[in-house]
Amino acid sequence: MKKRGLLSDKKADTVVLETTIFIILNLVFIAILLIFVWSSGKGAFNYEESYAKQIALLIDNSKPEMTLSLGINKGVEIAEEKGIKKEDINKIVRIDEKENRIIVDLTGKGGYSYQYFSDYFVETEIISGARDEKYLTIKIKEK
Amino acid sequence: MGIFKNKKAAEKILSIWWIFVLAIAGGGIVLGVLIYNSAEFDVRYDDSNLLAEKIVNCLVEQGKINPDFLKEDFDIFSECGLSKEVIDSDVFYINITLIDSSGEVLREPIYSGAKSFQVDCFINGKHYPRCSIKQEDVLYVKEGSSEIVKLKILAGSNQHGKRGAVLK
Repeated sequence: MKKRGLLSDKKADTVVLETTIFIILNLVFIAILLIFVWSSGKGAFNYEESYAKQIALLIDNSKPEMTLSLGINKGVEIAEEKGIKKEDINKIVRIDEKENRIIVDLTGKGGYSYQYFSDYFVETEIISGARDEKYLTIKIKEK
Repeated sequence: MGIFKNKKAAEKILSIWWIFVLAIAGGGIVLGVLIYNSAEFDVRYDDSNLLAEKIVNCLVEQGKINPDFLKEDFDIFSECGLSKEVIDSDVFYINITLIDSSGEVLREPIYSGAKSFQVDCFINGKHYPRCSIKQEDVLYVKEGSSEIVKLKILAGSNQHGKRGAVLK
């Protein structure tokens, strides 16, 4: 009786251990998937495209001597997360005057660009507002 | 090694069927996320609409057609603040016509950009341009008399942004 009891305990321990490993492996798999979905959701690529298009449309919808302001908190946050230095933050939004192109680069890998069709001289600058919120000011001038 | 001595448990962990189920579920989720993230924010219609509106605002003032528009040397780009280089590229198109009540053209139509848009604008499809048509009844004043004429503007955009652009 004693022998059988020991055997049965050992078997039970093994089953518990194996079941635990099985559950842990499944949880690891689910965790990896969740991390992938979460990190994809806040990807810099989507924000680069979205900001570039918003800025181009804003410029095309404006008139000379206008100054526009666009909240860019999330963009600055992502750029800082991706290792862009604070002194280089103004470079995340650039203008290619030759091609009338807005370039938004939050990762330092080239970014996303979109053309505006208005023949304006455009200046951009990122400024801090109240509660350290970041705004992109876009100054439109006649060429 | 102890784990694999128990055949039933070993089957549970290494079961090909279970790996297959995980691969299908995981692959499906990864594929779904990648498709969702690779989708473009399509603003081509907004682009074309803004272009058409900009031209209307430039050519019509208080319901009257800009008299300079009827001159042969009228430069739509400088007058309306449009970039000739950008419009003349293959991603934009504008076509402006002015016709009187009898349907007669009052000036040579102005067009610029990708000529194929004249047809492509009316085709539905992911790769075809998105276009905007504006028709305005405007007052045309000539030699003391005035009449209502029609200003027709077709503007199209097929602009897709670029990734990895380098500032020149």
